[in-house]
Amino acid sequence: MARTWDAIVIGGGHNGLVCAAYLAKAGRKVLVLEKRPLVGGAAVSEELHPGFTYSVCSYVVSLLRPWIIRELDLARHGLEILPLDCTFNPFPDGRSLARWGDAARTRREVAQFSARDAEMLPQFGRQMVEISRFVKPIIDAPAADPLSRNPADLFGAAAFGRRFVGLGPDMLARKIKMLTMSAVDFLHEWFECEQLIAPMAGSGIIGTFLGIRSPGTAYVLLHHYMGEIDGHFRSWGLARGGTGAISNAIAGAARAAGAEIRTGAGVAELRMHGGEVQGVVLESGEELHARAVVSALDPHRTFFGLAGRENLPDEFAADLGRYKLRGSSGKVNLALDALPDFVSRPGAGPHLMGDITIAPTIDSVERAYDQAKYGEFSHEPFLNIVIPSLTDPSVAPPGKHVMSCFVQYAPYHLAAGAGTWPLRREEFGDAVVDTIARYAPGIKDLILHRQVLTPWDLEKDFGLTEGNIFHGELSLEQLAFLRPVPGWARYKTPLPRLWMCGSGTHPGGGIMGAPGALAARAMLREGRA
Amino acid sequence: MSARVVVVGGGPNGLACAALLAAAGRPTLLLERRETLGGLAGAYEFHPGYTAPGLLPGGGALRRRLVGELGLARHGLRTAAPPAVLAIEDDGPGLLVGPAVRAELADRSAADAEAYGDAQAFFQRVRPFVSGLVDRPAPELAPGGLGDWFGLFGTGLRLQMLARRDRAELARLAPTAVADWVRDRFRTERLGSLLAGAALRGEFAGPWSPGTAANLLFAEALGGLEAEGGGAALVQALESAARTAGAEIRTGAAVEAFVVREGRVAGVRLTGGEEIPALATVSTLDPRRTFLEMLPAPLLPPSLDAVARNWRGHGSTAVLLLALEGSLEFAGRPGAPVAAARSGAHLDDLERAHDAAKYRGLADRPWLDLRVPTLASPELAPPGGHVVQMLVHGAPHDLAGGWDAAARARLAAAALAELGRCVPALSARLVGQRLLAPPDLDAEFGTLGGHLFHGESGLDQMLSLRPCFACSRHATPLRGLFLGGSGTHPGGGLPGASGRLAARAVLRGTVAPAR
Repeated sequence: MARTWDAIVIGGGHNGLVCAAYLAKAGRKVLVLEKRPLVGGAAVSEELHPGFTYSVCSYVVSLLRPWIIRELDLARHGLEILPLDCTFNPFPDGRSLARWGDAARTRREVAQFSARDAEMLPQFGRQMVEISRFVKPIIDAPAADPLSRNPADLFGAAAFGRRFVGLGPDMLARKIKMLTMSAVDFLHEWFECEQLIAPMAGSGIIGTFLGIRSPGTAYVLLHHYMGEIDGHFRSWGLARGGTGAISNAIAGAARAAGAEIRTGAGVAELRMHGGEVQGVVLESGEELHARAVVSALDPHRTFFGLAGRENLPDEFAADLGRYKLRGSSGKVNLALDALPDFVSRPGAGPHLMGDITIAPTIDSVERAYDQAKYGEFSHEPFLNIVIPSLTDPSVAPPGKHVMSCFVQYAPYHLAAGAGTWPLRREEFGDAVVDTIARYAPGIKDLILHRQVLTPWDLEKDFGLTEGNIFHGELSLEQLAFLRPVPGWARYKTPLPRLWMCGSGTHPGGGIMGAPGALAARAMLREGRA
Repeated sequence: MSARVVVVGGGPNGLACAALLAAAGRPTLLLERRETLGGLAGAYEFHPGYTAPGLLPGGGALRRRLVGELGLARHGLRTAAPPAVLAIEDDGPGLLVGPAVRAELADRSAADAEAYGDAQAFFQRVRPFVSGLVDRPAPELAPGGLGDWFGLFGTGLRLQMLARRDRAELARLAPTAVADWVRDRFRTERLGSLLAGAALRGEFAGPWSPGTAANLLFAEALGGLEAEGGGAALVQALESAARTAGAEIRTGAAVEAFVVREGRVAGVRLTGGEEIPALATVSTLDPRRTFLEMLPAPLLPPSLDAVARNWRGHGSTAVLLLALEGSLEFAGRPGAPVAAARSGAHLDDLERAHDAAKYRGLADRPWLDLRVPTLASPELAPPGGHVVQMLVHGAPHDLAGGWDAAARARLAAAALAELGRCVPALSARLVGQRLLAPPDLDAEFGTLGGHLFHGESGLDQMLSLRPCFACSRHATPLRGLFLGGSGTHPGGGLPGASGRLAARAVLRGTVAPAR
C-alpha cells in the first residue's frame, strides 16, 4: 500500500520549498518533487566551470521577506546575506555615476551631473520609503478581492480602501501615479539629468516586456526600491555561496521540519479522479498519492501542462489563456581571469562591489525595447551586472572572478520563432560582451568561460514558460487579486485539492518567498493539507 | 464686485459651460480669442468653397445628458450614430466594420464576427457604469463631507450592478495594452488594429502601451452618438443655446492673464489691457497654459506648479484637410461611399508611428483616421466635391530639426501616399489641402503642445487625476478659478462634457465665492 502524503509540492524552487517548510512545520507530511538534480529552481548556484560557481539565473536577493527568514530560521540553516552597497553606471562619454549607501557620497556624485537632482535625492528617497511602507503590507498578505461580495472580502477591500484614502490626497495621487506611470515620466517629475534617470528607470523594466517609457514601469521600480531600502534587514544583497545558498537554507529548514525532498523527480501529470486531484504521476511512471497537491510551477505549466486544458472549467481556461508570460530577458555568466577595468573608473574599487548598470541614455534603453517589440534581441541591451566574487570569494578561485550579467531584452518570441534561439544564442552572448566591452575594453581577453542563457534555455532547462523569470508579467492587470486570474488569486484553484504557490500568484516574482508562505497558510487554514 | 462668471475659451466646453451657467440664471460672459467660435470643433474653411466641420473627424462622442439639459434639439442639433469605419488595407478592399456592421467581418472569420459581437455586448453592459463616471464629477478619493461619501457609494453601487465577470473584465482591461486586449479576442489582425486606432486617437502612445485599452473602453462604451454635421453643428447649437439663455459672447477677445486680488482670481485682463472683473472664472484652456501662463508665478501654489510642469501633453498628431473634386473612392469599392476610414493594417504599423514620434521623428508611414463629412453635409463643398478630415499620427510637436516647410511637405506627402495606396484617383481629384502640424494647432487654437485633447488620457491623467486631485472636480485651490477644458475630467473626445461639469461646480459653489 503506497503511502499517502498530506501534501505534495511540485517544484523545488524557493517558493515550493518555503511552502513545504511551512506545511511541515505545521506537522504535515510533505514531499517536494524537483525535476532537476538540485533544488532551487531559478535560484541555484552551479559550478559550471571548475572553481567558478555561478548564480545561474537569479543573482541578487532584495525582497526575501524578513519574517520568512525569521520564522524558518534561515540563518541557522546557513543563509548569510552580504549587502551590496553601490550601483555603478558607466557612460559612453567616459564619465560615470556611482550611487552609494552613504547618502552624502551619492549626492556628491550626482551633483557632478546636476546640482538640482542632488538636492532632490533626499526628498525623493523619503517619498519612496513612504510609498513602500504602504506597499509592503500588501505583499505580505493575501490580496484583497474587490470583486467578491463575500463579507470578509468586502471588509478586507474596504479596510484596504480606507488605508488608501488615509494616505491623504498628495500621497494617494503619487501612489496611483506610481502604479500607472512610466518609470521615465515618474522620475522626470523629480530629476532632470539623464545619467540618473536612465539607470534608475532601468530597474523598472527588469523582467517585464515593457520599455522604460511604458506606463506601469514605475511600479516595478518601486518593487526594486523596496528591497534596497529594507535597510535594517540588509536584505538587498548576495547570498554567500551564491543564490543557491538561499534555496539550500530553505530546503534545510524544510527537511528539519520533516519534509522530504526528492530531486530528479519530474512530474508528468496530475492524478485526477472524479474531478479531484489525488496525487501525481512522475515521469518515471511512479504514482504518488496526496491529500493535497500544490504546484510551484508557473500557471501555464501547472494547468495547461500538468492538469490538461480539458480538465479546466472553460472560463478559467480562457482567462488563463490571456495570462501573459512572454519572457524578455536572458542571462550571461562569465568566468573571468581578473577583474574587468572600466574606462570611466579604472582599477578595482568599491564601485565594482555593487551592481553595475549599463543604461547610457533613456533613448538607448527604449530602443533596446523597440527591437524586442518586433521580435529581435537588443543589440545594445540594458545590462545589470554583479561581480559576486568580490563580495563572496568562495565562488571563484583566488584572484579570479565571476560576472553575472542580466540582459534585457531577449524576447522569447523571436521574429523567426522561439525555436531559432539555439542558432542565435552565441550571437546574443556576443552582443552582451560587446556592449560591456564598450565600457571595459579588456573584458574579452579575461573571459575563461561563458554561459549564455536565452529565454528559450530558461524554459527548457528551468521550466520557466516562455522564459519569464517572474512566472508571468508583473503588470497591473496581472497583480494582486488578478494574479494569475480574477477570482483565483488566493492560491486555491478550480480543481479540488490542487493549490498553487509559485511566483505566478500574489505577490509575484523575485526571491520573496511570500507566495509560498501565503499559500501554505491558506492551505492550513482550510485544513486541506 | 461683479457677480458675473467669465468663461475663457469658446470651444464646445466653454460654450456648454456658459450655456448652462446662463440657463441657471448666472450672468455669464464668454471670451474667445479667435474671431470665430468652436475652437478645434468650429467650422474651418481651408480652401475656397471647402469647409471642414471642425478639425476632429466626427467631432467626438456626444453626451445625451448635455443634449438634454440644454435642449440642443430645439437649437437645431440633430444626432446620428457614427458610421461604420473602413479598415483600409494596402491591397484589397479593406474591411468595413461597425457595431451593427459585421457582414464583411463574418466573411473573413465567423469566429471573429462573433467575438466582436461579444465585445460590443460587453461594452453595452458596462455602459451605464462608464457613463456614470463621465457624466458625474470624478470620484472624490479624499472624501470629506457626506456628499463625497454618497457619490463614492453611488459609483460603487453602479459597479456592483455589473456581473462579477464584467467587473473582473473592467479591472483587467483598464491597465492593459490595447494590442493585448484585441489580440486576446480576435484572430483578424485588421479588426484588432482598427479598434486599437480608436484607442490611440491623438495620443502619444502606441498599441503596446499599457493602459491604452482603457481608452478603447471609453471610445466603445460611450461612442454611440454624434452630432449630425460634426463639431461645427454642435458648436452652432451650443452657441444658440448660450445666447438664448442670455450669455454674452465676445470673440476676438484674448485673455492675457487672470487677475488675482486678495488671494483669489477676481477676473481676467484682455491683451488690450481691459480688465473684466468676475466672481468666478472658468478656464477651458489646458492646465499648463492656465497655471503657468495665465497666473502670476508667485501666486501659484507649488503643488499646482508641479502639476502643470509634469502634465503630459505631447502632441503627436497633425490634422490634414483635403478638398476633392469628386468622391473619395476606395479601390475595390467602386461607387460605394465611405464615410469613415482608418489606416494601419497591423498593430505594429501603429506602434512604429509612435516609435517615430518618441524619437522626435516623422513616421515613414503615419497612420490615418479620417472622415468624409460631405457625404452627410454636401453643402460643405461645391457640388460634387468632397471634404476629407484626417488625423495623421506620428507627427511630434517637438520634431527634431523643427517644423519647416520641408517637414510639413514630407508629412503631407507621406499621408497622401498612405491614402493613395487604396484611393487610386486621390491625386487626380485633389484640388486643395491644408496641413495643421501640432505647432500650428498650438498657435492657432492654443492647444497644449498641439495635443488635440489638452493632454494624454493615460491612467495617470484620468478621472480623479485629470488634471490633479485638487482640481479634478473643476474647482481649484485658487478661489474663484475653475477649470473646464479637455484637460479636466472627463477629458477629450467628449465635447462639452468637461464644460458641463465645470458649470455644475460653479453652481455648487464648491469654492465659496468671496462676498
